[in-house]
Amino acid sequence: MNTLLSFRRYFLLIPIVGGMFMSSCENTVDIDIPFVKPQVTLNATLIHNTFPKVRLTYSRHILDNNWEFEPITTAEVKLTADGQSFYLDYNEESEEYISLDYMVMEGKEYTVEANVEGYDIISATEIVPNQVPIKGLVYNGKAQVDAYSTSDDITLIFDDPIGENHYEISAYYYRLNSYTDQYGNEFYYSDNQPIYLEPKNPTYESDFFSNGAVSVDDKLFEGKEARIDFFTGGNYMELDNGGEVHFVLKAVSPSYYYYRSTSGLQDWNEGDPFAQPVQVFSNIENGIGVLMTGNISSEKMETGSN
Amino acid sequence: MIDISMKEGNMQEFKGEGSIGLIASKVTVEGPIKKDKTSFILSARRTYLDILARPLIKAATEGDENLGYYFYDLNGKVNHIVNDKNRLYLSVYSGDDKAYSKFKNFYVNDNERTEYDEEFGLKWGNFISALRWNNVINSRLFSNYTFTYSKYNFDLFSNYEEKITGLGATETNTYSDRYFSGIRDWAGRADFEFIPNPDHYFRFGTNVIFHKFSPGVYASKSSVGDNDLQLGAEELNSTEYAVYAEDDINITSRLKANLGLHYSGFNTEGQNYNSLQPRIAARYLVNSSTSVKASYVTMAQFIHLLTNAGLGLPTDLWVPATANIGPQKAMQVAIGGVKNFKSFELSAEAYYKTMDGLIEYKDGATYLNLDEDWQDKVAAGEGLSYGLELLLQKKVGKISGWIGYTLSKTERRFEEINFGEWFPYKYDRRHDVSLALAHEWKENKDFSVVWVYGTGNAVSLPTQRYEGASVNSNGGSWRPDIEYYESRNNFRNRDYHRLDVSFSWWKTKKWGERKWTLGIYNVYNRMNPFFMDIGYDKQSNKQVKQYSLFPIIPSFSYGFKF
Repeated sequence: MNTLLSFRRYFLLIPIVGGMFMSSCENTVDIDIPFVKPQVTLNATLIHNTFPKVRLTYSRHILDNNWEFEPITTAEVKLTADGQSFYLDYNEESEEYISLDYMVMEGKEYTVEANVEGYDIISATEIVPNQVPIKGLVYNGKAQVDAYSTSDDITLIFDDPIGENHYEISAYYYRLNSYTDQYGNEFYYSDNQPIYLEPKNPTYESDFFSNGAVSVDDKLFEGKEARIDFFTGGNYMELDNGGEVHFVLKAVSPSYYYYRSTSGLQDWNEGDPFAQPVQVFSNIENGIGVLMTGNISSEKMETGSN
Repeated sequence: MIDISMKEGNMQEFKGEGSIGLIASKVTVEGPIKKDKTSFILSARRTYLDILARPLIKAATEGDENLGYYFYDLNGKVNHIVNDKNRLYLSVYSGDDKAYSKFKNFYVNDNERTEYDEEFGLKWGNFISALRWNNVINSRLFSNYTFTYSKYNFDLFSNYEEKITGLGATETNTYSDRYFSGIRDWAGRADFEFIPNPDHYFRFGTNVIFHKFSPGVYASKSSVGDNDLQLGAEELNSTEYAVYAEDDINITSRLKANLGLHYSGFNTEGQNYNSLQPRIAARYLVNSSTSVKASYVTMAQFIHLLTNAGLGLPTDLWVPATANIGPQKAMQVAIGGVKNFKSFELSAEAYYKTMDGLIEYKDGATYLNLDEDWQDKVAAGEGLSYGLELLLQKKVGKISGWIGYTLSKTERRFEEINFGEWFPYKYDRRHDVSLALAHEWKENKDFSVVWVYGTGNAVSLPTQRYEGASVNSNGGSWRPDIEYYESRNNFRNRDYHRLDVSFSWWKTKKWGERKWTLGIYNVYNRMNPFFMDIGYDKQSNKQVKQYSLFPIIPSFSYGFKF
């Protein structure tokens, strides 16, 4: 009894502590991610023999519910090559800065600079690679994938120049069709669909793909003739109704390769709680995004004739 | 290295102690099997906070959610004196920890009601058994021979059960996924101590460990169809061996040194790794109250800790060195000093450590992708750690305790991660403070306070989103969203801090001693981080949520000792 009396003051703590316990059962806390000034995003892909285009947007806070990235329309955008600079104008329709007075040329080094109010000059520099022509396309026959489907077995051949090179390889099926309506008018339409490419060599495989395009570096064939074997997603070469299978070999800058590899991997892992984070490559000074360059060569094979 | 030994059972009489509390209970019994010859000790603990908190969490979440954690462990040891020169010990430890989250709800669709229960979580456990023979060879030479078997398991699990009630029929479907890994070790070691004269104290010995690693297995089961699946890395066997010798030398009355040489080796998949590790430490007594010390140590470790860099559950895995992945090696130099005041002791030590052969998950690696070997998911690199540790202790008087502070920095660098730049290690803890005070103000009453603080773990969290470069698709084009990480481990979890208090009073009874303890864990209800998640709230706003395990927990226990 004495013990109880001497500790009565402590027993008064019980309802207080009990109340605290009851109020503390919420086991989650919202984490505040500090708001920082948005960064300017500069994205541009300079392809040989095309007009330059640059798109500018602002980044958004990770918890921002607005999914749209509205273009920055009031910047001053300049392209410099061989010591000569010219300005790109904002185009309302494409929402990009473009110039129709100049075409991107292979082998040249380009610097893109964007002057956006309130920011240091945002810039990036890249060299447009020289064209690497396709030396040959060899149809090796039809491959049985499983009991129900077949694919084409095709080898792409090209000569890899000396030095570090990167490529993006893609293919598409093209067919021009026509029909005549009841009044005798002839109409033309095209059937154009990308072909998913699966390299036979697992070194060129990746977990992710960009609409069937395959990105490769030249570590396996540095400075030599490259022969890369592919299975196509579907059988096109023996289609009876004609058409063409086009292969596109795009020589790309290292930045192009690293950006596509990292952004593709980040996209592929989205929603996987056990995947490690992926930092996407950027070569933009004072901003984020990427300046990529490339040079395209293309060859086609007629279908139905094999 | 910490040498942990279990308490030995009482050789004279049967004793017991334990406590029964609101959140945990424990009991220990010990006594002679044959007086002065053989004794035993058995103890067991179990927390059950999860059981007590369950109704409260359910009430707060309208019965839909439950979150919990518990652990238990069992210890047993038998100690047998063969004769004056020989003793035998047999000990066993088993313990498991489990953290889980459960969620249940229902929906109605097309005249069918579906009730579903989801559970996910992780559990890990250890089992250790050891047989030790302690032998006095002569008055100057002692030996210990130890044989152990140990097992470590890690298990990440997810279960889903749905009950579909339709028109007159009920169907139950279950699905479960598990990812588990583990290590089993069989080891033997011989340790000797030789004291030829008061100025030398030699220690030498050898050990061999056979490891069996299960780096990761994914298993999926389903009651629907024939979908059971088991995938994963094959078990890996390896052998680790070591020989060491060291001597504590009294060079002068003020200068004492420890010189040692360790050799360790590892054999796995036909590959041998060898490492010779010189170690030197010295202490100089400046005067009766002051000493300074310095050390140089090299180390090799053949087991790697692989941590998750993302926000998710802290799923750390232990994986071995292999033919492709070498051991991790470290070098550390440290200098420090100790100064005794009247009833206080102040010590300080600064250290600098370099590490090589560390491993870390590559960007994008996912350990549920079992088509890929775990070795292909990691990159090897280097690390650096340095810091200053301060400790002020009061060992005598009615108030005793200590306050410790560590300032440190630990970084990693890998060619293939973070674009080759240095980044903070997940467990980089810039500031670490611990304060422990005990006040015995009466003979049978004491009060203690413990406060700990640590900088939050470094995790990778995207802080911004931006528009990616255009991607062509089916004749059109689209611009993907990119999540922006400034660097690997760019974000700090909330700092960890917690205050615990306890008040005890005890009384001697005819049968022994009884003790009441009133305690409060996490007095100011700090929500310390366990893991984080990016999701949406009920208004569809994106949010980063941090999950915590332990809120404020009052406890009241009755202890006994006889």
